[in-house]
Amino acid sequence: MSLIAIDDLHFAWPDGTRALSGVSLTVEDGRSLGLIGRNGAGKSTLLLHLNGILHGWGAVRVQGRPVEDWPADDLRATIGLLFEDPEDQLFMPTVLEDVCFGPLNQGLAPDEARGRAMAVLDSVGAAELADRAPHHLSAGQMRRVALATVLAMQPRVLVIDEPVMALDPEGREEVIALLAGLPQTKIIASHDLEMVLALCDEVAILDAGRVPAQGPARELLADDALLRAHGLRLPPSLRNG
Amino acid sequence: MLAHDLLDTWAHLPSPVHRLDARVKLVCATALVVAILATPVARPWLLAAYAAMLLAIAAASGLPAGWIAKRLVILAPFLVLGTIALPFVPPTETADAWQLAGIELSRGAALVWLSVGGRCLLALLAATLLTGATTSAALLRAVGALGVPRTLTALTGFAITYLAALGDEAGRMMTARRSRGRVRGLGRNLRVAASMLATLMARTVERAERIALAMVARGYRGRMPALTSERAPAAEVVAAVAFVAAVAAVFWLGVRA
Repeated sequence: MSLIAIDDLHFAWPDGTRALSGVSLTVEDGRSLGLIGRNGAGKSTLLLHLNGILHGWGAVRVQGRPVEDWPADDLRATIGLLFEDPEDQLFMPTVLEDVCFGPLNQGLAPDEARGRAMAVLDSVGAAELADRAPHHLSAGQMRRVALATVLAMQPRVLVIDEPVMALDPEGREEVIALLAGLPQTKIIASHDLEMVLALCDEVAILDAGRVPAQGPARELLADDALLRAHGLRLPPSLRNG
Repeated sequence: MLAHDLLDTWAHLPSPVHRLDARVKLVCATALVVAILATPVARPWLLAAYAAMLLAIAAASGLPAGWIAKRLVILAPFLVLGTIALPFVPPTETADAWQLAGIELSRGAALVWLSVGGRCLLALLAATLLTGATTSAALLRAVGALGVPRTLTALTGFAITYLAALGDEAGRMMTARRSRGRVRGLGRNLRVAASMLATLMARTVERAERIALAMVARGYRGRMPALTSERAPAAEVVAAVAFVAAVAAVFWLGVRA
Protein backbone atom coordinates (compact mmCIF):
# COMPACT_ATOMS: atom_id res chain seq x y z
CA MET A 1 0.00 0.00 0.00
CA SER A 2 1.37 3.42 -0.96
CA LEU A 3 1.80 5.96 1.83
CA ILE A 4 0.07 8.56 -0.37
CA ALA A 5 -2.18 7.69 -3.30
CA ILE A 6 -3.96 10.27 -5.42
CA ASP A 7 -6.46 9.04 -7.97
CA ASP A 8 -8.18 11.15 -10.62
CA LEU A 9 -8.15 14.35 -8.57
CA HIS A 10 -9.92 17.38 -10.04
CA PHE A 11 -10.04 20.90 -8.64
CA ALA A 12 -11.28 24.27 -9.88
CA TRP A 13 -10.91 27.63 -8.12
CA PRO A 14 -14.10 29.57 -7.30
CA ASP A 15 -13.58 31.78 -10.39
CA GLY A 16 -13.81 28.66 -12.55
CA THR A 17 -10.08 28.28 -13.32
CA ARG A 18 -9.31 24.58 -13.55
CA ALA A 19 -6.16 23.80 -11.58
CA LEU A 20 -6.22 19.99 -11.49
CA SER A 21 -7.79 17.85 -14.19
CA GLY A 22 -7.44 14.22 -13.16
CA VAL A 23 -4.16 13.94 -11.22
CA SER A 24 -3.09 10.41 -10.29
CA LEU A 25 0.17 9.58 -8.51
CA THR A 26 1.58 7.56 -5.65
CA VAL A 27 4.32 8.07 -3.06
CA GLU A 28 5.89 5.16 -1.22
CA ASP A 29 6.89 5.27 2.43
CA GLY A 30 10.40 6.63 2.98
CA ARG A 31 10.82 7.77 -0.63
CA SER A 32 11.18 11.28 -2.04
CA LEU A 33 9.03 12.44 -4.91
CA GLY A 34 9.87 15.50 -6.98
CA LEU A 35 6.86 17.29 -8.41
CA ILE A 36 7.98 19.28 -11.42
CA GLY A 37 6.18 21.32 -14.03
CA ARG A 38 5.91 24.73 -15.61
CA ASN A 39 4.40 27.77 -13.84
CA GLY A 40 0.68 27.36 -13.30
CA ALA A 41 0.82 23.57 -13.76
CA GLY A 42 -1.00 23.08 -10.45
CA LYS A 43 1.89 22.00 -8.22
CA SER A 44 1.09 24.24 -5.22
CA THR A 45 -2.64 23.52 -5.55
CA LEU A 46 -1.96 19.79 -5.46
CA LEU A 47 0.18 20.13 -2.33
CA LEU A 48 -2.66 21.88 -0.48
CA HIS A 49 -4.85 18.80 -1.04
CA LEU A 50 -2.43 16.54 0.81
CA ASN A 51 -3.20 17.86 4.27
CA GLY A 52 -6.84 18.62 3.65
CA ILE A 53 -6.63 22.40 3.22
CA LEU A 54 -8.21 22.14 -0.24
CA HIS A 55 -10.76 19.50 -1.21
CA GLY A 56 -11.26 18.55 -4.85
CA TRP A 57 -13.14 15.76 -6.58
CA GLY A 58 -11.40 12.42 -6.65
CA ALA A 59 -9.48 10.39 -4.11
CA VAL A 60 -6.56 11.48 -1.93
CA ARG A 61 -5.50 8.72 0.46
CA VAL A 62 -2.87 8.92 3.19
CA GLN A 63 -1.88 5.58 4.71
CA GLY A 64 -4.77 4.07 2.78
CA ARG A 65 -7.35 6.35 4.39
CA PRO A 66 -9.18 9.12 2.48
CA VAL A 67 -8.06 12.54 3.77
CA GLU A 68 -11.66 13.57 4.45
CA ASP A 69 -11.92 10.70 6.97
CA TRP A 70 -8.86 11.90 8.92
CA PRO A 71 -9.33 14.13 11.97
CA ALA A 72 -7.83 17.45 10.78
CA ASP A 73 -5.30 17.60 13.64
CA ASP A 74 -4.00 14.08 12.99
CA LEU A 75 -3.70 14.72 9.27
CA ARG A 76 -1.77 17.97 9.80
CA ALA A 77 0.52 16.27 12.28
CA THR A 78 1.21 13.53 9.72
CA ILE A 79 1.69 15.77 6.69
CA GLY A 80 3.96 18.76 7.32
CA LEU A 81 3.50 21.48 4.73
CA LEU A 82 6.27 23.97 3.99
CA PHE A 83 5.12 26.95 1.95
CA GLU A 84 6.89 28.58 -0.98
CA ASP A 85 7.44 31.93 0.72
CA PRO A 86 8.85 31.54 4.25
CA GLU A 87 7.54 35.01 5.12
CA ASP A 88 4.04 33.51 4.92
CA GLN A 89 5.07 30.61 7.14
CA LEU A 90 6.56 32.73 9.92
CA PHE A 91 4.03 34.92 11.66
CA MET A 92 4.80 34.91 15.40
CA PRO A 93 6.82 37.65 17.16
CA THR A 94 9.89 35.44 17.78
CA VAL A 95 11.42 32.39 16.12
CA LEU A 96 10.94 30.29 19.27
CA GLU A 97 7.23 31.16 19.50
CA ASP A 98 6.82 30.37 15.82
CA VAL A 99 8.43 26.94 16.14
CA CYS A 100 6.32 26.26 19.26
CA PHE A 101 3.07 27.22 17.46
CA GLY A 102 2.48 23.76 15.94
CA PRO A 103 3.47 21.68 19.00
CA LEU A 104 1.26 23.86 21.27
CA ASN A 105 -1.64 23.33 18.88
CA GLN A 106 -0.93 19.60 19.13
CA GLY A 107 -1.57 19.90 22.87
CA LEU A 108 1.99 19.82 24.19
CA ALA A 109 2.68 21.55 27.51
CA PRO A 110 4.60 24.84 27.06
CA ASP A 111 7.83 23.46 28.57
CA GLU A 112 7.65 20.37 26.39
CA ALA A 113 6.93 22.49 23.29
CA ARG A 114 9.85 24.80 24.12
CA GLY A 115 12.19 21.81 24.55
CA ARG A 116 11.12 20.27 21.27
CA ALA A 117 11.40 23.59 19.46
CA MET A 118 14.94 24.20 20.72
CA ALA A 119 15.99 20.66 19.72
CA VAL A 120 14.60 21.16 16.21
CA LEU A 121 16.14 24.62 15.87
CA ASP A 122 19.46 23.10 16.89
CA SER A 123 19.08 20.35 14.27
CA VAL A 124 18.62 22.91 11.48
CA GLY A 125 21.47 25.08 12.78
CA ALA A 126 19.22 27.91 13.95
CA ALA A 127 19.30 27.59 17.75
CA GLU A 128 20.98 30.99 18.09
CA LEU A 129 18.04 32.61 16.28
CA ALA A 130 15.45 31.55 18.89
CA ASP A 131 14.86 35.04 20.29
CA ARG A 132 15.06 36.89 16.98
CA ALA A 133 12.04 38.32 15.16
CA PRO A 134 11.40 36.08 12.11
CA HIS A 135 10.97 39.03 9.74
CA HIS A 136 14.48 40.23 10.61
CA LEU A 137 16.15 37.05 9.34
CA SER A 138 17.99 36.56 6.06
CA ALA A 139 16.35 34.45 3.33
CA GLY A 140 18.48 31.41 4.19
CA GLN A 141 17.80 31.72 7.92
CA MET A 142 14.07 32.09 7.20
CA ARG A 143 14.11 28.87 5.16
CA ARG A 144 15.78 26.94 7.96
CA VAL A 145 13.43 28.34 10.59
CA ALA A 146 10.38 27.65 8.39
CA LEU A 147 11.57 24.05 8.06
CA ALA A 148 11.95 23.89 11.84
CA THR A 149 8.33 25.06 12.34
CA VAL A 150 7.18 22.01 10.37
CA LEU A 151 9.70 19.51 11.80
CA ALA A 152 8.63 20.49 15.32
CA MET A 153 5.28 18.84 14.60
CA GLN A 154 7.17 15.57 13.90
CA PRO A 155 5.39 14.82 10.62
CA ARG A 156 5.77 11.52 8.81
CA VAL A 157 5.65 13.24 5.42
CA LEU A 158 7.24 16.56 4.44
CA VAL A 159 5.48 18.41 1.63
CA ILE A 160 7.72 21.22 0.44
CA ASP A 161 6.97 23.93 -2.10
CA GLU A 162 10.05 25.42 -3.83
CA PRO A 163 12.50 25.00 -0.93
CA VAL A 164 15.47 26.79 -2.49
CA MET A 165 13.78 29.58 -4.39
CA ALA A 166 15.50 32.99 -4.05
CA LEU A 167 18.46 31.57 -2.12
CA ASP A 168 22.09 32.33 -2.91
CA PRO A 169 24.26 29.34 -3.94
CA GLU A 170 25.58 28.80 -0.43
CA GLY A 171 22.11 28.99 1.16
CA ARG A 172 20.77 26.67 -1.54
CA GLU A 173 23.48 24.09 -0.79
CA GLU A 174 22.78 24.32 2.94
CA VAL A 175 19.05 23.73 2.49
CA ILE A 176 19.64 20.81 0.09
CA ALA A 177 22.06 19.19 2.57
CA LEU A 178 19.55 19.73 5.36
CA LEU A 179 16.69 18.15 3.40
CA ALA A 180 18.90 15.24 2.25
CA GLY A 181 19.57 14.38 5.89
CA LEU A 182 15.91 14.18 6.88
CA PRO A 183 14.47 10.67 7.15
CA GLN A 184 10.85 11.61 6.38
CA THR A 185 9.00 10.78 3.18
CA LYS A 186 9.25 13.93 1.04
CA ILE A 187 7.24 15.51 -1.74
CA ILE A 188 9.14 18.44 -3.21
CA ALA A 189 7.59 20.77 -5.77
CA SER A 190 10.22 22.76 -7.64
CA HIS A 191 11.55 24.17 -10.87
CA ASP A 192 15.10 23.50 -9.68
CA LEU A 193 15.63 20.19 -11.43
CA GLU A 194 19.23 19.93 -10.22
CA MET A 195 17.96 19.98 -6.65
CA VAL A 196 15.21 17.50 -7.50
CA LEU A 197 17.86 15.22 -9.00
CA ALA A 198 19.93 15.49 -5.82
CA LEU A 199 17.06 14.85 -3.41
CA CYS A 200 14.40 12.72 -5.09
CA ASP A 201 14.12 9.03 -5.93
CA GLU A 202 11.14 9.61 -8.18
CA VAL A 203 9.72 12.43 -10.24
CA ALA A 204 6.18 13.24 -11.35
CA ILE A 205 5.66 15.76 -14.13
CA LEU A 206 2.59 17.94 -13.70
CA ASP A 207 1.26 19.74 -16.74
CA ALA A 208 -2.12 21.45 -17.22
CA GLY A 209 -3.47 19.80 -14.08
CA ARG A 210 -2.49 16.23 -15.06
CA VAL A 211 0.45 13.90 -14.43
CA PRO A 212 1.62 12.70 -17.84
CA ALA A 213 4.66 10.90 -16.42
CA GLN A 214 5.91 9.50 -13.13
CA GLY A 215 9.05 7.44 -12.77
CA PRO A 216 12.63 7.19 -11.46
CA ALA A 217 14.23 10.63 -11.17
CA ARG A 218 17.44 9.79 -13.07
CA GLU A 219 15.43 8.34 -15.95
CA LEU A 220 12.83 11.11 -16.35
CA LEU A 221 15.20 14.00 -15.72
CA ALA A 222 17.51 12.69 -18.49
CA ASP A 223 14.69 12.56 -21.07
CA ASP A 224 15.18 15.83 -22.92
CA ALA A 225 12.23 15.34 -25.30
CA LEU A 226 9.82 14.59 -22.43
CA LEU A 227 11.00 17.56 -20.39
CA ARG A 228 10.79 19.93 -23.38
CA ALA A 229 7.28 18.73 -24.17
CA HIS A 230 6.23 19.96 -20.74
CA GLY A 231 8.09 23.27 -20.68
CA LEU A 232 11.12 21.98 -18.77
CA ARG A 233 14.82 21.60 -19.56
CA LEU A 234 17.51 19.09 -18.62
CA PRO A 235 19.24 19.82 -15.31
CA PRO A 236 22.77 21.23 -15.98
CA SER A 237 24.58 18.13 -14.70
CA LEU A 238 22.79 15.91 -17.24
CA ARG A 239 23.44 18.12 -20.27
CA ASN A 240 26.05 17.20 -22.91
CA GLY A 241 25.82 13.47 -22.38
CA MET B 1 16.96 50.42 5.52
CA LEU B 2 13.75 48.39 5.47
CA ALA B 3 10.75 49.77 7.34
CA HIS B 4 10.72 46.89 9.80
CA ASP B 5 14.33 47.61 10.75
CA LEU B 6 13.04 50.86 12.28
CA LEU B 7 11.24 48.80 14.92
CA ASP B 8 13.36 47.63 17.84
CA THR B 9 16.25 49.76 16.53
CA TRP B 10 17.72 50.35 19.99
CA ALA B 11 16.00 47.51 21.84
CA HIS B 12 19.10 45.32 22.01
CA LEU B 13 21.51 47.66 23.84
CA PRO B 14 23.34 46.09 26.78
CA SER B 15 22.03 48.56 29.40
CA PRO B 16 20.58 47.64 32.81
CA VAL B 17 17.22 49.07 31.69
CA HIS B 18 17.24 46.84 28.60
CA ARG B 19 18.12 43.77 30.68
CA LEU B 20 15.11 44.16 32.99
CA ASP B 21 12.17 41.79 32.52
CA ALA B 22 9.61 43.37 30.16
CA ARG B 23 6.77 42.81 32.66
CA VAL B 24 8.71 44.66 35.34
CA LYS B 25 9.33 47.57 32.96
CA LEU B 26 5.69 47.62 31.87
CA VAL B 27 4.39 47.75 35.46
CA CYS B 28 6.87 50.50 36.43
CA ALA B 29 6.12 52.58 33.34
CA THR B 30 2.36 52.23 33.83
CA ALA B 31 2.64 53.33 37.48
CA LEU B 32 4.73 56.33 36.49
CA VAL B 33 2.36 57.35 33.67
CA VAL B 34 -0.68 57.10 35.97
CA ALA B 35 1.07 59.24 38.61
CA ILE B 36 2.16 61.81 36.00
CA LEU B 37 -1.31 62.12 34.49
CA ALA B 38 -2.94 62.39 37.94
CA THR B 39 -0.64 65.20 39.10
CA PRO B 40 -2.72 68.23 40.18
CA VAL B 41 -2.13 71.52 38.34
CA ALA B 42 -1.17 73.18 41.63
CA ARG B 43 1.79 70.81 42.13
CA PRO B 44 4.14 71.56 39.20
CA TRP B 45 7.23 70.57 41.20
CA LEU B 46 5.85 67.01 41.34
CA LEU B 47 6.28 66.93 37.57
CA ALA B 48 9.86 68.06 38.07
CA ALA B 49 10.42 65.08 40.37
CA TYR B 50 9.01 62.66 37.78
CA ALA B 51 11.05 64.33 35.04
CA ALA B 52 14.18 63.75 37.13
CA MET B 53 13.26 60.06 37.48
CA LEU B 54 12.69 59.74 33.73
CA LEU B 55 15.93 61.52 32.87
CA ALA B 56 17.84 59.17 35.17
CA ILE B 57 16.20 56.17 33.46
CA ALA B 58 16.95 57.63 30.03
CA ALA B 59 20.60 58.10 30.98
CA ALA B 60 20.84 54.55 32.34
CA SER B 61 19.21 53.11 29.20
CA GLY B 62 21.82 54.55 26.86
CA LEU B 63 19.11 55.33 24.28
CA PRO B 64 20.35 58.12 21.98
CA ALA B 65 19.00 61.54 22.99
CA GLY B 66 18.30 62.42 19.35
CA TRP B 67 16.20 59.28 18.88
CA ILE B 68 14.17 60.08 22.03
CA ALA B 69 13.72 63.71 20.95
CA LYS B 70 12.43 62.61 17.54
CA ARG B 71 9.72 60.55 19.20
CA LEU B 72 8.71 63.44 21.44
CA VAL B 73 8.32 65.73 18.43
CA ILE B 74 4.95 64.08 17.75
CA LEU B 75 3.56 66.30 20.55
CA ALA B 76 4.85 69.49 18.94
CA PRO B 77 1.67 70.44 16.99
CA PHE B 78 -0.44 70.07 20.13
CA LEU B 79 1.99 72.12 22.24
CA VAL B 80 2.37 74.83 19.59
CA LEU B 81 -1.40 75.17 19.05
CA GLY B 82 -2.05 75.40 22.79
CA THR B 83 0.69 78.00 23.23
CA ILE B 84 -0.65 80.11 20.35
CA ALA B 85 -4.13 79.99 21.91
CA LEU B 86 -2.89 81.11 25.33
CA PRO B 87 -2.87 84.94 24.71
CA PHE B 88 -6.53 84.65 23.66
CA VAL B 89 -7.56 83.56 27.17
CA PRO B 90 -8.11 86.84 29.09
CA PRO B 91 -7.08 87.13 32.77
CA THR B 92 -10.09 86.71 35.08
CA GLU B 93 -8.90 89.48 37.42
CA THR B 94 -5.94 91.81 37.90
CA ALA B 95 -4.14 89.36 40.18
CA ASP B 96 -4.45 86.73 37.43
CA ALA B 97 -2.75 88.94 34.82
CA TRP B 98 0.78 87.96 33.88
CA GLN B 99 2.99 90.03 31.63
CA LEU B 100 5.32 88.10 29.35
CA ALA B 101 7.32 89.99 26.69
CA GLY B 102 4.65 92.65 26.57
CA ILE B 103 1.80 90.15 26.18
CA GLU B 104 -0.82 89.90 28.90
CA LEU B 105 -1.59 86.28 29.77
CA SER B 106 -3.93 84.63 32.24
CA ARG B 107 -1.70 83.18 34.94
CA GLY B 108 -4.24 80.44 35.76
CA ALA B 109 -4.59 79.44 32.13
CA ALA B 110 -0.80 79.44 31.63
CA LEU B 111 -0.30 77.17 34.68
CA VAL B 112 -3.00 74.77 33.46
CA TRP B 113 -1.41 74.72 30.04
CA LEU B 114 2.11 74.13 31.43
CA SER B 115 0.78 71.32 33.59
CA VAL B 116 -1.19 69.63 30.78
CA GLY B 117 1.65 70.02 28.28
CA GLY B 118 4.23 68.82 30.82
CA ARG B 119 2.16 65.81 31.80
CA CYS B 120 1.66 64.79 28.16
CA LEU B 121 5.35 65.22 27.42
CA LEU B 122 6.47 63.19 30.45
CA ALA B 123 3.93 60.42 29.80
CA LEU B 124 5.14 60.21 26.21
CA LEU B 125 8.74 60.14 27.42
CA ALA B 126 7.92 57.23 29.74
CA ALA B 127 6.27 55.32 26.89
CA THR B 128 9.20 56.09 24.58
CA LEU B 129 11.73 54.78 27.10
CA LEU B 130 9.67 51.63 27.63
CA THR B 131 9.28 50.84 23.92
CA GLY B 132 12.82 51.92 23.10
CA ALA B 133 14.43 49.64 25.66
CA THR B 134 12.19 46.60 25.06
CA THR B 135 11.70 44.52 21.91
CA SER B 136 8.17 44.60 20.52
CA ALA B 137 7.96 40.81 20.95
CA ALA B 138 8.91 40.99 24.65
CA LEU B 139 6.49 43.87 25.19
CA LEU B 140 3.63 41.92 23.61
CA ARG B 141 4.43 38.90 25.77
CA ALA B 142 4.49 41.16 28.84
CA VAL B 143 1.13 42.70 27.96
CA GLY B 144 -0.29 39.19 27.48
CA ALA B 145 1.19 37.97 30.78
CA LEU B 146 -0.51 40.86 32.57
CA GLY B 147 -3.93 39.75 31.38
CA VAL B 148 -4.58 41.35 27.98
CA PRO B 149 -6.45 38.74 25.85
CA ARG B 150 -4.16 36.60 23.69
CA THR B 151 -6.16 37.35 20.52
CA LEU B 152 -5.53 41.07 20.98
CA THR B 153 -1.78 40.66 21.52
CA ALA B 154 -1.59 38.25 18.56
CA LEU B 155 -3.39 40.74 16.31
CA THR B 156 -1.07 43.51 17.47
CA GLY B 157 1.89 41.28 16.71
CA PHE B 158 0.56 40.63 13.21
CA ALA B 159 0.01 44.36 12.72
CA ILE B 160 3.60 45.17 13.76
CA THR B 161 5.05 42.52 11.49
CA TYR B 162 2.89 42.98 8.44
CA LEU B 163 2.46 46.75 8.51
CA ALA B 164 6.25 46.90 8.35
CA ALA B 165 6.27 44.33 5.54
CA LEU B 166 3.61 46.36 3.75
CA GLY B 167 5.70 49.51 4.21
CA ASP B 168 8.66 47.72 2.64
CA GLU B 169 6.49 46.60 -0.27
CA ALA B 170 5.16 50.13 -0.79
CA GLY B 171 8.75 51.40 -0.75
CA ARG B 172 9.76 48.88 -3.44
CA MET B 173 6.78 49.91 -5.58
CA MET B 174 7.75 53.57 -5.23
CA THR B 175 11.32 52.75 -6.27
CA ALA B 176 10.04 50.79 -9.27
CA ARG B 177 7.79 53.69 -10.24
CA ARG B 178 10.60 56.24 -9.93
CA SER B 179 12.98 54.04 -11.91
CA ARG B 180 10.57 54.15 -14.85
CA GLY B 181 10.64 57.92 -15.15
CA ARG B 182 8.85 60.87 -13.63
CA VAL B 183 5.06 60.97 -13.78
CA ARG B 184 3.97 64.46 -14.88
CA GLY B 185 0.76 66.13 -13.83
CA LEU B 186 -1.26 65.93 -10.64
CA GLY B 187 -4.04 63.89 -12.27
CA ARG B 188 -1.67 61.21 -13.56
CA ASN B 189 0.17 61.14 -10.25
CA LEU B 190 -3.08 60.61 -8.37
CA ARG B 191 -4.10 57.83 -10.78
CA VAL B 192 -0.74 56.09 -10.31
CA ALA B 193 -0.98 56.45 -6.52
CA ALA B 194 -4.54 55.04 -6.54
CA SER B 195 -3.53 52.03 -8.62
CA MET B 196 -0.52 51.39 -6.36
CA LEU B 197 -2.79 51.51 -3.33
CA ALA B 198 -5.21 49.06 -4.96
CA THR B 199 -2.34 46.71 -5.79
CA LEU B 200 -1.05 46.92 -2.23
CA MET B 201 -4.50 46.12 -0.84
CA ALA B 202 -4.91 43.15 -3.19
CA ARG B 203 -1.47 41.83 -2.22
CA THR B 204 -2.32 42.29 1.46
CA VAL B 205 -5.46 40.20 1.13
CA GLU B 206 -3.56 37.49 -0.78
CA ARG B 207 -0.81 37.44 1.83
CA ALA B 208 -3.37 37.25 4.65
CA GLU B 209 -4.90 34.22 2.92
CA ARG B 210 -1.50 32.54 2.62
CA ILE B 211 -0.71 33.19 6.29
CA ALA B 212 -4.10 31.80 7.32
CA LEU B 213 -3.35 28.65 5.30
CA ALA B 214 0.06 28.33 6.98
CA MET B 215 -1.60 28.64 10.39
CA VAL B 216 -4.25 26.04 9.58
CA ALA B 217 -1.54 23.71 8.23
CA ARG B 218 0.10 23.84 11.66
CA GLY B 219 -3.02 22.95 13.57
CA TYR B 220 -4.55 26.39 14.27
CA ARG B 221 -8.16 26.00 15.38
CA GLY B 222 -9.12 29.58 16.18
CA ARG B 223 -7.26 30.00 19.44
CA MET B 224 -3.74 31.40 19.59
CA PRO B 225 -1.48 29.18 21.70
CA ALA B 226 0.84 30.91 24.15
CA LEU B 227 4.18 29.96 25.63
CA THR B 228 3.96 30.71 29.33
CA SER B 229 6.84 32.98 30.25
CA GLU B 230 9.35 32.15 32.91
CA ARG B 231 9.00 33.93 36.23
CA ALA B 232 10.57 37.38 36.47
CA PRO B 233 13.74 37.33 38.63
CA ALA B 234 12.87 37.91 42.30
CA ALA B 235 15.32 40.83 42.59
CA GLU B 236 13.63 42.58 39.67
CA VAL B 237 10.18 42.04 41.18
CA VAL B 238 11.43 43.57 44.46
CA ALA B 239 12.94 46.49 42.52
CA ALA B 240 9.65 47.00 40.66
CA VAL B 241 7.66 47.02 43.90
CA ALA B 242 10.15 49.53 45.37
CA PHE B 243 9.90 51.73 42.26
CA VAL B 244 6.09 51.72 42.28
CA ALA B 245 6.12 52.45 46.02
CA ALA B 246 8.53 55.35 45.46
CA VAL B 247 6.33 56.80 42.73
CA ALA B 248 3.27 56.47 44.96
CA ALA B 249 5.11 58.01 47.92
CA VAL B 250 6.31 60.98 45.87
CA PHE B 251 2.78 61.49 44.59
CA TRP B 252 1.19 61.19 48.02
CA LEU B 253 3.69 63.52 49.68
CA GLY B 254 3.40 66.00 46.83
CA VAL B 255 -0.38 66.11 46.89
CA ARG B 256 -0.48 66.44 50.70
CA ALA B 257 2.13 69.20 50.85
